[in-house]
Amino acid sequence: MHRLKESTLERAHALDRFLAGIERRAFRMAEFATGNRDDALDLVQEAMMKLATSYGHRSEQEWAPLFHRILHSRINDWHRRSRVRNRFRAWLGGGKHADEGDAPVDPMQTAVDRRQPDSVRQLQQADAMTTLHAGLRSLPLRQQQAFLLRSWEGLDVADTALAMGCSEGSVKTHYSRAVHRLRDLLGEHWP
Amino acid sequence: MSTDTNKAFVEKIRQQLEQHAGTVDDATTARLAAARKGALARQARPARHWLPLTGLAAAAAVLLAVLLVHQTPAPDRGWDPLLAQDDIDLIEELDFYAWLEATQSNS
Repeated sequence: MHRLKESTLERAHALDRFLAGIERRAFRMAEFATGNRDDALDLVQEAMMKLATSYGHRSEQEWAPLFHRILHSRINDWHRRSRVRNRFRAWLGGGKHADEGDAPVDPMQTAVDRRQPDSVRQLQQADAMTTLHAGLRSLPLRQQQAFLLRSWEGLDVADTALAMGCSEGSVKTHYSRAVHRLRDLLGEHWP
Repeated sequence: MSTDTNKAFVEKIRQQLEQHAGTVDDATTARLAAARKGALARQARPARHWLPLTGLAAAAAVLLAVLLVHQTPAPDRGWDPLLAQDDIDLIEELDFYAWLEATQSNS
């Protein structure tokens, strides 16, 4: 009984470490996908809750692809809902952003604060991030997901396919197109 | 475009994204931490295996009640047999009464 309690506690600590390690990247990914901080936070929170309650007992190696599967499924749902909402707004005559992936970006979130007495290097980095942010936001959702999961989260093709709920071939296609598109958008000399 | 060039390009983006993740503001960090704690607390809560069973039992009871209500025979007309019999006779011979009324109005 004591050992069982200890083992449960250890798993809880492991899950805490896993979530703590992934939460900021997950938040940024959701933010790239939605363009909205609060929605991104909600989506990450839902994914954490679902992973902990439904998949916490699974092996630790499975957590990353499962977490992203949940998160990206929620992101896809979010896009579906906003498409419907935007169409409805368009019918009512007030829609300005009816297309997928064109959710308005808060300029305050992406603007570089030039008042800070930063070095030129820091300003260049902020500019580079602004450009990258715009580039990532301009990618179709599936390309954006494949690129971020493969290049940033470090998932292999099989785990990315699991997370995205598609075939490995599709992952390769989305990833390759994303890299080429970003190259075109950011240019040879970025950052 | 060579694979190495692509790798270097992707690596630059990865580094940029890592820096970006490190700049999450304090309020957001606090909300993320709270969400994590909430998820762990929910996981630690003992599973309520009886909940689905209770729901199933309630649904079965409702179904049974509905079936019983629908199978109950129509109320016995015995409470006022004369009046009830008159009503039935009227309905059964409605055509006759219609004809009678038409005949009387013609004459």
